[in-house]
Parts: sequence; structure tokens; C-alpha cells
Amino acid sequence: MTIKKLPVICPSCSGKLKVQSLHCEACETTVSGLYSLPILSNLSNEEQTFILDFVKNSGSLKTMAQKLGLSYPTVRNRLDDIIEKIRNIESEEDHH
Amino acid sequence: MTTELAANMKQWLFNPFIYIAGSRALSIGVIGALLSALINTYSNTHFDGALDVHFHVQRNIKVPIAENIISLLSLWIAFLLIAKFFTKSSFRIIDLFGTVALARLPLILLSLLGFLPFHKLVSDYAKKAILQSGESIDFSNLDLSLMAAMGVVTIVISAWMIALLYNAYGISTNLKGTKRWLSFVIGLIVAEIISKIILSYTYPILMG
Repeated sequence: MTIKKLPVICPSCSGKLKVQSLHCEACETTVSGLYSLPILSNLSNEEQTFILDFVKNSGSLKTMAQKLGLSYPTVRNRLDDIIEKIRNIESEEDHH
Repeated sequence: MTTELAANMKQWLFNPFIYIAGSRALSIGVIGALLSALINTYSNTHFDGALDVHFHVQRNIKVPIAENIISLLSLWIAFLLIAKFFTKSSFRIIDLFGTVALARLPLILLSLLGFLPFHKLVSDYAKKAILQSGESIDFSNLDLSLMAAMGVVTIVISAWMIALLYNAYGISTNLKGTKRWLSFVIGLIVAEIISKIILSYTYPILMG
């Protein structure tokens, strides 16, 4: 089964996409509006998986490093890079 | 599969710090430094500076041990100070010390090179050049080829160690781009200066 990837960037102008409508499968209700996507959805699948693993491991980079078979600084650098990316997204959103 | 294996091998050769850092890397690195000091005692090899390798007679067993410790300490101190200044990441000192110590493992190969007649040939060449200036110096083609080959081997091993040091420094401090290479070069120069200063005070004590 193909896993659909949530598009966050406009394929036409590369601008950031927003949610215009939400649909309830149970009662067929559709809600329309203009909603921003959460910051986490702007991260790549790998980065989102990393954050989930980080939370599941109670925020222990040491445990994560052991499980991934990587060194502690390698894992910490990945986290630092994600933090940096999140900060950039936040500051971009503040400017808009 | 072959490409993946080659990429994996390249990583282990030039950036093993992706997998090993901290106290494990420090233990391996320190054991390597001690082993290298022990070999230097018999192979007349000197690491008389953070980046120096020279081949001349070893007079005292304490000398190679001190040279190894001082070279390593100089790199640790220099990289620590420079990285604190350049990086925004809160890196662990044990990772920097461990990966830098591990990056110096190729020095064992340079220690072993001291057993080859390379340095004797070079020193003979230098002596003859000084004593017989203006006169032709006869070396067999084999001697000259050996000297050239050993020179190339020394350069290749040194370049490998510097590449390892660069990756060790980068992964421990999470510095990237210009900041990374610029601070690394400054760190190497500072380490070389520190080691030379400390060694200049240490040699008279060791030689008694």
C-alpha cells in the first residue's frame, strides 16, 4: 500500500500550503476555512520519525544512539539540526 | 550492494566517529597513543609537535611517552578553546577528546615506518650534502626510489590522519561549512604552537 505524503509546499509556486477543508468520514461533514499546518508537518518523514523516537525514548539521546547503532554526537547533531530547522520555520512564520 | 559496502568502508576509514565517540573512542585512542609511544622507543620515531613526525635516535624511553601525551593534550586544548568560541551547540568534551584521540590511530603506522631504513637514508643524504657541498652524492636508484616511496607513504598517512581529525572535530562540535574548516585550521596551528612551547620546556627535564 502506498503511503501518501502530506504536501506542504505548493508545486506551482513553492509557497507554503495551508489547509482549506477538513472532512469527517463518519458523518460526511466538511469544515471549510484556512488553517496553517503544524510546524512538525514541515519536517521530512525522517525528521518526524526521529522526533517520535526521541519522545518514545523519554528524550534520552544515549538510548537512541544505542538503538540506532550510532555515536552520541551523531544523534545529538541530528537533533540540533532539527531544532535549527524548526527555529527557521518559526521565524519565517513570524515574518508572514 | 557493492556501492553500499564501499560507502560503509569509506565511512569507517574516514569517519568512524559516526559510530564511535565518547569514552569508548577515548579508551581506544589512549591505548593507541601508548602503543605508538612504545613502538617509537624502538623505531627512533618522534612526534615532536601536534603534527610533527621526525626520525632520529631515541635517547630516553620517557621522551616518546611525553611527546605523545603533549601532542594529544595540545590538540585537545586547542580544539576545545576554538570550538567553544565558534559553535552554538553544547557539545560534550568527552566526545571531542575521544574522537580526536581515535583520529590519531594512523600514527601507529608512522611509528612502524621508523623501523625502515628511510630515515637513515635521509640523514645520510643530509650529512653528505652538508659535508660534501658542491660534490656529487652517489645514491643508488633503489635508495632514491625507497626514499621517494617512503616520503609518499608518510604524506598519505599524515593526510589520512588530518582527514580523520577534521571529521572528529566536525562531528564532536557540529560545526559546518566555513566555520568548520576555518576553526579547524586555526585549531591545528594553535595546537602546533602549544605543543612546541610545552616540548621546549619538557625536553631539558627529560634529558636531565
